[in-house]
Amino acid sequence: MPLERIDHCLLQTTDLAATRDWYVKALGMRVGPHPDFKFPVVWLYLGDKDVLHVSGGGARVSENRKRYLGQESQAEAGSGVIDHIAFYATGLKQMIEHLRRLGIPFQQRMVNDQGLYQLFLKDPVNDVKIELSYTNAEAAAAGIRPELMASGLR
Amino acid sequence: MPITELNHYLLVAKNLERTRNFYQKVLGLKLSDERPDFGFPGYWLKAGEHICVHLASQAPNRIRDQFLLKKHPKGTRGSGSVDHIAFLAKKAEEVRKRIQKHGIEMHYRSFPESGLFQIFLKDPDDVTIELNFLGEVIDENAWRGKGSASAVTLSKSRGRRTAARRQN
Repeated sequence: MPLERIDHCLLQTTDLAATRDWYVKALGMRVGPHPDFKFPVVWLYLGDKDVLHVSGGGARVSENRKRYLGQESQAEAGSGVIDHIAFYATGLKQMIEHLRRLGIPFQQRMVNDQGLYQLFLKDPVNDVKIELSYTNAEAAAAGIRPELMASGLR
Repeated sequence: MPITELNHYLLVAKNLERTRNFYQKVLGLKLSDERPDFGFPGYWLKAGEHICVHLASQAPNRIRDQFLLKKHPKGTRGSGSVDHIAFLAKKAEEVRKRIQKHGIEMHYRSFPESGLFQIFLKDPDDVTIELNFLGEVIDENAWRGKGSASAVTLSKSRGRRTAARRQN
């Protein structure tokens, strides 16, 4: 069930355009492709890798965003705008068994057009949301199905 | 491309040992023995070969607050306990100029003995971003006043505890 590396962070902001522009101008990231989550997102890349995901934040986030991701905080400033931190991982089936054995609750999500299978869980000491990101192929091979797919949102 | 990859996040944990335990037992990360003496307690954790989670403690610590640019209150929860997100970067002079050109406040952190130089800055939502220039040592005197709001140099003082020297 190894976690291989840190994958991305999701920031939630009340000004998507200003945040996008700042990371592009100040840090030299580039805006790149992202799947259709049925809520507005911007993905920022370094080279070929998306490293920051940005979505709407504050008090007025969309219902689709809440259904897919939840919302950890309505903070509009400081580290509270970080919704989650994601790791790229392999060994989905083993991780699910491991978490069930430890009695740790988790949610399963799938972004069907990106080949991405996600587990969301909480670090219970600090209440920080962690995403574990697997390939869809691994989920399909193990016959694992998510509770919610992005394409299921309207 | 001066900023090259996402590197780690730092969590200021309510309970340092329980948090370390969570990352080791639940997520299977490995404890790294490479963490320098920052003058405040903490751990580095590895996924594969990558050190990607840094932990510090919410227990009051003056050096930590000085280093991280803010006072960390006890009882912080959720994503508010994430202090910063860090990237690897190259060409410190080029990046410094780029940030200064946009009028953004910077804070320098230097570890000359470990060959590490860092720039801390805030994004528009007040998220702290850390840029790590591995193997780059800057000339502190040449950089003084060039857009930096503060500069701290950490060094071992003759086998004693890590000392922080402040400018600005």
